[in-house]
Amino acid sequence: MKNCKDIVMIVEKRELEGLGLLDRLRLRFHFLLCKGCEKYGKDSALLHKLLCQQKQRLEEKIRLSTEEKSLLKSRISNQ
Amino acid sequence: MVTKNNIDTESLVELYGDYLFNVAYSKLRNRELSLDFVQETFLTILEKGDQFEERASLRTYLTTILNRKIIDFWRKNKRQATDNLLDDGGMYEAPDTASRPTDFGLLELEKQNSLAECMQKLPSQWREILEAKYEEEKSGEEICKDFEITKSNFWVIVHRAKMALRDCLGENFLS
Repeated sequence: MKNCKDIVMIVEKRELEGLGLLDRLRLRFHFLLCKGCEKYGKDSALLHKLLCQQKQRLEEKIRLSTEEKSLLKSRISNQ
Repeated sequence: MVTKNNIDTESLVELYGDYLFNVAYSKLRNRELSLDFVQETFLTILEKGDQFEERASLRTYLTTILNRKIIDFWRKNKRQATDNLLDDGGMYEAPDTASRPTDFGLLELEKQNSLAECMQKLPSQWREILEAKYEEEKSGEEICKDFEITKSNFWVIVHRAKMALRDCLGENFLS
């Protein structure tokens, strides 16, 4: 049976790479027995979501036009 | 240290202008307003560059400044919105929601801002590995090669970084 130290590594792998059936079952069984690890699993999933959202916000690639860049440069230089 | 003397404004705009504008626009959905906030962010870093301790990347630091300014703006507008709901004739005016988030949106932005601040507090290697994974979307193998670490090290670092972020954000913020 996996100990908590191994389980948290499996949790991280779940977020970033996905898990096979065996590891998914291991996690589920361990979470039944260990509420600390179950809590960590939830927190890790939420952190993963927040970190992904930071990236998603930048997906649109809105850019400054040439005129906007020139305006920005002149405004900053003149302050 | 970042000051007007040791970094030219042209480089600042060229290096970080698009990125910060993208961040601002994703929240404000208004070009003119986003441009103003980016300008204010650059002016702040030029005025207070001696407070930049270079523990984090300059981009992360600039993003934190920008997010703080946007949150302050929204909080101020939220207060004013309730004061200004009546026009001169005493009729209700629907608030302009184009650049103002819902309370849920503001909370989400605060979470993102706090997350950016907490990322800045991480040891540089941990932060760079998280950025490589989440922002650059590199594979675990590529990251291990770039940072010269084993796959086991990679998982340990991700785990420790997340534990540190959890502690920094606090239990209440995550719930």
